[in-house]
Amino acid sequence: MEASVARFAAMGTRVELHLFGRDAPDALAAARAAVEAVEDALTVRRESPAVALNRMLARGGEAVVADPLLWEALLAVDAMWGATDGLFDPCVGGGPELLRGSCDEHTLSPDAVPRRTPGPSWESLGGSCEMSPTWTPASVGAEREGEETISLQCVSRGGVAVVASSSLPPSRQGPGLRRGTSALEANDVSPLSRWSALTIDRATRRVAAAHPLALDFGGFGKGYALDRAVAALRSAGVISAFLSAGESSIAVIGEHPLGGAWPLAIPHPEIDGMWLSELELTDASLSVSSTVGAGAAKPGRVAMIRPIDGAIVTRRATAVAVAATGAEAEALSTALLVADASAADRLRAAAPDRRFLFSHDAPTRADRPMELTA
Amino acid sequence: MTDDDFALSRRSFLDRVLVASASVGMSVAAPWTALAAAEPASGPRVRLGVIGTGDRGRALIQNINKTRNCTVAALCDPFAPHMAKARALVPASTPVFTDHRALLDAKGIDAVVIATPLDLHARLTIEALDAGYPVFCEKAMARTIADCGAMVTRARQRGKVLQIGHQRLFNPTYLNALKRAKSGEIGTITQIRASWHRNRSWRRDVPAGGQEREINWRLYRARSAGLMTELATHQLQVANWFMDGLPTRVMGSGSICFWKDGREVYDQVALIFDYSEGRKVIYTSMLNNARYGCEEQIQGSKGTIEPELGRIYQEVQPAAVPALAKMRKDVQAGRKNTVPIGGATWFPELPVTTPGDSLGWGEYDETMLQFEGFGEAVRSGKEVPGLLAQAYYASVASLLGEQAIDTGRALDWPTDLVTV
Repeated sequence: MEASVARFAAMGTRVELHLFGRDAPDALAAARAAVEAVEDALTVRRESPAVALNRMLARGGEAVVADPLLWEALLAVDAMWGATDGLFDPCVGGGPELLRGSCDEHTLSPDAVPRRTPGPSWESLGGSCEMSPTWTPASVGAEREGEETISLQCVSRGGVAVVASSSLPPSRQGPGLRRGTSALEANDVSPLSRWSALTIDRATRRVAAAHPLALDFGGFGKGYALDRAVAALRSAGVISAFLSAGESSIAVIGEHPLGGAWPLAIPHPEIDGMWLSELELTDASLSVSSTVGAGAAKPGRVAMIRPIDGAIVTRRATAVAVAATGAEAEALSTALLVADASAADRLRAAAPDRRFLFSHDAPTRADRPMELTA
Repeated sequence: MTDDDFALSRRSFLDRVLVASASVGMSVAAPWTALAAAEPASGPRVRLGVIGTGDRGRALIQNINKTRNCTVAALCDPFAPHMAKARALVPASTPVFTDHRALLDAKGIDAVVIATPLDLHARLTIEALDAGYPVFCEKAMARTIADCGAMVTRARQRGKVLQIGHQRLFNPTYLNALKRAKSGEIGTITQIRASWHRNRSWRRDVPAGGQEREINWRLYRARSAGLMTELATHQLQVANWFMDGLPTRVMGSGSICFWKDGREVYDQVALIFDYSEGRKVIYTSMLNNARYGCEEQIQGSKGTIEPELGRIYQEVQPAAVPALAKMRKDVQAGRKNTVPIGGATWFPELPVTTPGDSLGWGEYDETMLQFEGFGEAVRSGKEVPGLLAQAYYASVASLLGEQAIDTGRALDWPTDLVTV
């Protein structure tokens, strides 16, 4: 392999790091180490700080998060959860197996439990973040008014915003919760077992769960890992690079080696040779989430679930988000994909040139799906 | 093969055993190899009385004949057709017996080799030990876990050598595989998938004068646990060896699924053996499909070893993303083209068909080496270290597996085993 390319398996996928301008094996090695460090911290497929935390959260307990990468990830998720009005939520509930208190890797596998939305961002988290984020969650600006089927209410709990919906009897609901519908119960996942059930004390790094739940950082982890790799490369003086994690998570550093922005095209997930969109990136990250295509067809992949009401996302669609960081992009593309129409419109409206949702559903009597490009 | 050729290949074989066993951890994992691979001491050959001259017994006789320190000094079998075939393999003057007691009483031997149906192993072993003879007994040890323990206990009480035939322990390919596994080459071993699949009934024609339950003893529960004791034992020994531990629990299922010919033992078994830290050995055996044959797929985080095929495979690294490879070429050619990327990727997770690398070292009959080791043990009065424990635990695992199948329950590893 060329000295300016690193290719390896990590985060459950294929990672490629391409440097341009000069060979920098040390920089590549540092970037790879950064990716692997994130994997070590966040994986739920083997023992890790995330698994250790999940053991406590699965009991509805609390834990002090000592691992710096996990802690940053939690803060980032928290920011993106708020920024997307709960549409991005990496909680996977507290099913019966988790309640036993032996939250080993297979019980936390994304294949074993319904997948929620994963993703995050740093800067707005204050202080300890080494990333270079420019986007602020407030810019997402989704309004909650007009929701018809999603019950939301914000309350304050230890300084952490709590957003939840529930189909439980009022006697079992927490303060301020209103009833709603949920498909989660059918999967033995409590509708309360989501990010809103977490309390994060930033001073003590203590994380507590009001209900049994577990975290699966999923695609967010890829974006977060690329962000760490980008930081490592920048620190090593790299000014032009293209990074890919599973081809659905992309980050670029600087300009294309021949000048100008990096020209990218988003392939249609089902039609060879057709593109959904063309984009130009400079110092940015890209995330693509889809309910169709090769990735979605993977055996054992569970349905996407909209976390705020537990509904299974049945729409055939592809979401694309460009953001300053990979973590933000991951959270936003996932949020776009699971959002209902009005929520998706609000998310897109906040940055129409960086957020796209392509529907592949066929209109009535149509011969083939209609592409509703952004 | 001439004697010189044989000597050369033998020396080469032994050298490979020594090379394979000479590394960190191997002296603990395979403590018998250095002793077994040493040149036998000079002196009179160890005289072996072989009880049981069926197919396996005759195979043992042929291997004994290859050794430099042992000789077949007596034969015993009540079934004349088998004895006739065995006599053709030894000098005509070799004493023959139809009653094992007569062989034990006749003297003129230094040790006993037992290659009878399984249900006789314990009784014959104990009688031979009581008669003052060291014993080499074919695997599996016995029909019951209690009898396996009784054999060990009696050998200890009598101060006599007891060795059980597990030839893979001496196989240089296996030893090299273990060495490479211990060096970390395939990462942490978390699962072994072992199978022994055949496509034949296992039923043998009963010759004139023979009795069904004597010839086809493997098919009857009173005499054998079938696939578990006759085949699985080998591979469970390998599993314990590579897992560097013992099972904690076993669960299984079995059936007489295909050969509904009056047999009493399963013709199909599937078991899971739990080991510490969540590790598994998954075992299957069947008698109506041979595609996957006999193999132990030893799977670690970095690679896989298949010792029967003599191959080692590294985990396959991801292939290049075509769009990014083209991007690099375009840049090198001064072209700035759009990069089509962004679709979530998934590739069918089909079996990897990479050829892997050879573990090296060809065939050689390691059963012979077992007997040379046994011969030296008889001479010195000291067992070849480590062998009996390997055999005992392999037999216990196979019999516990049978119990798990029979009861339909997950069974914990026994806590009342004898200390080896």
